[in-house]
Amino acid sequence: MPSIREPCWSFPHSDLTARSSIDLRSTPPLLDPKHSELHLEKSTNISPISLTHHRDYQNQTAQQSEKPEVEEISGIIGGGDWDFLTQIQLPAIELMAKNGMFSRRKRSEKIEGFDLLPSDSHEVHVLAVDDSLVDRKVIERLLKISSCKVTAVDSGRRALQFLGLDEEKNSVDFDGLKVDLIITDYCMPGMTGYELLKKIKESSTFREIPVVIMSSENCFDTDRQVFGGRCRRFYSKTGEIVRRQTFERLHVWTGSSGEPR
Amino acid sequence: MEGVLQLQRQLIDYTTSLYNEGFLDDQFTQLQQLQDESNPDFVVEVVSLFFEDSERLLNELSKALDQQSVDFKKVDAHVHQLKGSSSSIGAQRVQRICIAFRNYCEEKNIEGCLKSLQQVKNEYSLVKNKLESLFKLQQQLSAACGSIPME
Repeated sequence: MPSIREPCWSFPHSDLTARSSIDLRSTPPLLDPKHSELHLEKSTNISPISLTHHRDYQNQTAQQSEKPEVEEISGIIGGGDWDFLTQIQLPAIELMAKNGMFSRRKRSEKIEGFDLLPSDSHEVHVLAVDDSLVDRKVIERLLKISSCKVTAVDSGRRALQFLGLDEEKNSVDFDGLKVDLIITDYCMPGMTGYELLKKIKESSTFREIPVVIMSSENCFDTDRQVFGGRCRRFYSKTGEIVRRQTFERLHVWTGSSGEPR
Repeated sequence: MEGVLQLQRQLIDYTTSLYNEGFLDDQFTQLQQLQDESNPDFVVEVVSLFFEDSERLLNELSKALDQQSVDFKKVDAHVHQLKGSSSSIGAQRVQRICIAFRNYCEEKNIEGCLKSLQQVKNEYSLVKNKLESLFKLQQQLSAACGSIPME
């Protein structure tokens, strides 16, 4: 039985604690470019889940006639709905939290670089959106293992309600509900994950939050037009090789040395 | 001690057979890896949710296919959900039938759908029994281990 805990390479860039400031917008190099659909330029900075500013992505969008209405799409993972989470849960989120990437700043502050907070900074709060009860349970567990606080909701509508975006009025004070990351299923009745993403990105309060969309192959392929060049697709097949690739990438992104648990 | 070893052996053999016969796939392994001492019933809980969810969906499917004028979109939506949850726990054979089922929905093929419904009910019932037996074995093993005095 293939193990998902593949041994990882130690990443040449040292871990995040060595950094004094981290630029969210730059992207890390990939360990194995030939496997990737992403051609990230070399950079000494490490970025978290947000993958918005790839050169390749920008080239791709040139072929779109209209400017994408959603400027920042964090990432889309194909394959089994929560396959990717088994990879992300390990070092990625923990490291980010430890290194203050999800610091308690008001969203109105423009963040140039993060100051490193001590490792007892607050837990990452993830809003998980999935219409499947089974998947919600699994996501919850995965995220809790990574020491995240989890709020799991069953629809895009509920997610917006939770964020206070459902009604026209925006709530002003969000400190109690601060969400650091949104992970959503793509294929949902009512509002798809992509529609949810758009709504979130339209909001000045929440547009900075990284949004990751999980998609099972089926749904995703039929809506490929929708995504087009607006976001980067990491892979679309389930399978061990693909998981390993994702695993590589996550370690690259966080700059961890990739010690598997 | 011998009892424990035997049970262990049984459990390993049984689990292996479930994978070999395609009842379970790697996704189930991943679920098991999420379980630990702090969450010792995780797999059982998730699988129980799967059972509840599936039974509800199978009922809905039976009703939907029993209508005078079948709403194939609705049927497809239910099958999609069933496919998703079976995939999430690694119930591979159920998932496979769902794939064929969805194709019949797309073709608006009522015969095909009814056939698939029957097949998926069968497969679901099989995997349910298998998983329940698996959990029982696991329980027996824990109980036997629990009764061994620690040195």
